Amino acid sequence: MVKMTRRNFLKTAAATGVASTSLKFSFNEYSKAAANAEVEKRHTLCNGCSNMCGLFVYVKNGRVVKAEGNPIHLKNKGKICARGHGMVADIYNPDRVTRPMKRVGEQEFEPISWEQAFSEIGEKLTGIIDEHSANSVTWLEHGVRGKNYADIFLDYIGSPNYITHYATCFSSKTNVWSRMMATNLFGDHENSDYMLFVGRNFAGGIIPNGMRKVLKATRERGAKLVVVDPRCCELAKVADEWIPIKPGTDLAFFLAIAHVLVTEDLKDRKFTREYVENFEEFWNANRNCTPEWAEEITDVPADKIREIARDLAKHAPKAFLETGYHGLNAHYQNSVQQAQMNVIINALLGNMYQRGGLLPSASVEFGQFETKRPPEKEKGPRVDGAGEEGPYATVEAVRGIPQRVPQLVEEGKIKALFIYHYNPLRTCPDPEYQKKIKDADLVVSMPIDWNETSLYTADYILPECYFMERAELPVQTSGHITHDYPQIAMRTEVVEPMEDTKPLLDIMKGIAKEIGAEEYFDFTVDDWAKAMIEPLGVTLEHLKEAGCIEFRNQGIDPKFPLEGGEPALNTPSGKVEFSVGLYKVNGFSGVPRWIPPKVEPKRQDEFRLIHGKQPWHSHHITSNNPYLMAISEQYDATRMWINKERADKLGIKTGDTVTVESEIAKKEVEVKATELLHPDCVWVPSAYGGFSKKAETAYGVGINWNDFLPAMVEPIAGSTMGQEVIVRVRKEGK
Amino acid sequence: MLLTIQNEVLPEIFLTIAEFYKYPDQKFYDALISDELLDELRERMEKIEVKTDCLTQQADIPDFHQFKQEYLRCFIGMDQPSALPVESIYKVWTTDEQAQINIANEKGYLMGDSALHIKHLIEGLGLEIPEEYKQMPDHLTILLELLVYTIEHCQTDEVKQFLDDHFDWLTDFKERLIEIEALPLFISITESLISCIEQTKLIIKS
Repeated sequence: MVKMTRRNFLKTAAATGVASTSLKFSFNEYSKAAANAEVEKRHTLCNGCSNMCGLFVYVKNGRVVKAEGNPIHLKNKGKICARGHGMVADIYNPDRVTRPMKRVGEQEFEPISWEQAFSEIGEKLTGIIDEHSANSVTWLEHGVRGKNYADIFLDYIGSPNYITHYATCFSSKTNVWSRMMATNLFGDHENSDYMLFVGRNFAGGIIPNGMRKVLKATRERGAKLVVVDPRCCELAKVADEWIPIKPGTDLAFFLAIAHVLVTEDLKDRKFTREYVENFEEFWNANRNCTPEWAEEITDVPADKIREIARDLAKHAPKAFLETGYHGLNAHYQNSVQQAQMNVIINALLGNMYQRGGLLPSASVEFGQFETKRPPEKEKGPRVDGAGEEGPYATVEAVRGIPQRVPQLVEEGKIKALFIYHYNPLRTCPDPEYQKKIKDADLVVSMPIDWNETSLYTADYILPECYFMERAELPVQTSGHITHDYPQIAMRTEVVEPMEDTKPLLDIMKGIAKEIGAEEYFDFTVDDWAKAMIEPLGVTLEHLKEAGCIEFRNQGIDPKFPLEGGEPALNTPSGKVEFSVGLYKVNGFSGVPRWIPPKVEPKRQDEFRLIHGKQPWHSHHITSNNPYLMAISEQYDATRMWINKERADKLGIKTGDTVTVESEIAKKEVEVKATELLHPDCVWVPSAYGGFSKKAETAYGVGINWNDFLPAMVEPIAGSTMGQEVIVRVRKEGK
Repeated sequence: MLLTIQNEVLPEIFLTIAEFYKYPDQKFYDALISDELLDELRERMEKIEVKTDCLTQQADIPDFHQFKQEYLRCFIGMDQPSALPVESIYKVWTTDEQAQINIANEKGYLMGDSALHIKHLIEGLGLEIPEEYKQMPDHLTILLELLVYTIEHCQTDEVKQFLDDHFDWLTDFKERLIEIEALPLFISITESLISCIEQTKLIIKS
């Protein structure tokens, strides 16, 4: 007989073996007693999107029972959006990776111990570095939460390859603003009299306090809100005007706005004279971009362009063109030039550093954490070429080019990949191409749930604990909306980890130990956090309790930066640079000029495929959340929008299933035929199209724009050009 | 405490069944395919007068690799819809009126009220569970080990209370296993467990 050894899990605790006198065997009796347990209030930062709103979480009997917005936090001021509510409860969703996993087959894994995972990863990584050099190792993440720890790891092994997802999001904007302004400015929505949002759905990618500010300005003070977008998006629904522009032509619209400002002498002369460099170069290149010229390209009437330009000037400096985020800044061949025009129009309005116009973020200077750093190693050139001599010299190295990773794996240039808090198989172009990632010799994914990247490509899955189960370093709350006083906030551990999961720092310590780098991770989150806030005169205990602290003695001074009376932006001239020298020396135009979109629909059944956020989802990261997906179901929100007139011509009506086909994919989806969309395009929400069977709620729901988009690289900023794709649409069966 | 023959048989039955809900190791698998494990289980079930029809000889046990994958698919959930052997999943998350999160009245979530109670019992009885189950204390394998502990160390009315409170979800669990087309062995072992639980209640009553 084969004797089985029983693996009894329950053990007698070391301290006692005697039943407690307060023990309640009856579930009902216990429940009554548990209902009277103390409730503790703890602080975290939401992970429903990248805004990281402040949340107070109430914990009872070790469980989360309630959450409310932190009333101080700049991003939410006491509110929680639908995504936030969904994410709070998702801590108890069983669809998470519960322990380390090792691939044992095509889509087969088996659970292993952390010790085994660290040991095997360490051994394989060391072998890869010995054989192929550290340059073959890449860290890939959403950005930038893991950067502090990734930097130590990459410094130790000697790799320069830190790559983020921003090429799919806003890399054109950061590239342009860093060259033209060397800083970021944001709309002062609350105090503005005229707000122009172009390709920016502020109510879809919602920041609760941002929308509060916009609505306060429009409803309480009568500020005008104009939305230019191919789709009547959520923000357009609360705007004074929605202008359906032909997708991909925003650059022409901007050039014509500038044309009116200049030719009608509406620009702020003083600001342009004193604080702008290379105005003439810009104007000489674009003096023919009249509203009539733009009307032909954009479908926006010339008179409407003039009206908007005049209204902007009339209300300046309390008027702005919203500086944008995801959207135009990664979508087109001309995204860089449209981002340049955003700076130029706002500069011509003279609204920079003006209340009601654009303001800098209020910020504080964090202290440096003096930890033992690895000895400096000579690093080779970045494997993705970002910022290196060659075709991607103007791409910001700090962002990288994630869509090149599968190709680099295929070419044998990337041998080991560490993927943290990122799911390129679903959120980067062309999932079939992305699957090449699995061919690297070592792929380690550090997710929360069973995302597509982990399931299809990872050799090892090292699950990170949920955002409410971990502490992270303090952050400033700044960005996207303005505030007079700087704030810092911190994510703290609200409850113990539900599963056998670890925070990123502990994962890094485990790997570091195996490769001899243990001494460089000999610190805690608290050690680092204390050093950061030490110069600010607050204690860690205070920060953890308050969650968010505002420094009312350090308000912003809304004046153009000057030194000795001279403009002192951190640009070569100290002024706003209308022409970018780096672009010129690399063979591009320094000033923006009209560049048409890369592709155009031509046939009767062809459309440009565009996409956008819904207010209750953050692209794909929330799509396995049952609560948020119930909202999607309630509103038939997975449908693809199509212009009604064009749908009629194709015999398509709302509720029909259609076939959508690009050069690389063919899918079926239900449609919504509507007048609220420009005829040239079809629109899909960005949340859907999950294909990880383990993420049961998201699996097989809707389609995703990345299914249809080939992997491309915009040459200046390296974006994916996410809306440069044409699809053919036909009714199912035709 | 139960002082009958069943006091010796019941723990063996429940501890054997508990093994099926743990991630399989080689020794368990070898015992399973040798037939001895199921033969012993059947023999013991017959001792407490539980029918063993559903536990016929299993011809469908795949090789060890595939068996582990079936376990992962069904009980951890990977690549397919799963049937987690966790009490909280099959019950409304909480009846605590102070709970204001959106899953409060929903089924399908971990760490529900039943998990809190099991945690309370384990701590109160001076027991410990391994790290990977600490936040999933109402996992079926833990419940079965705790049941055995109560049979061996607690009063009869306490065993009865425990059976009534924490094994009333097994039929839903079995239905879910059928729905996801789980390995027939997992379905039949769960059917057997349900029968054994019912029989234990009768034994206690008498």
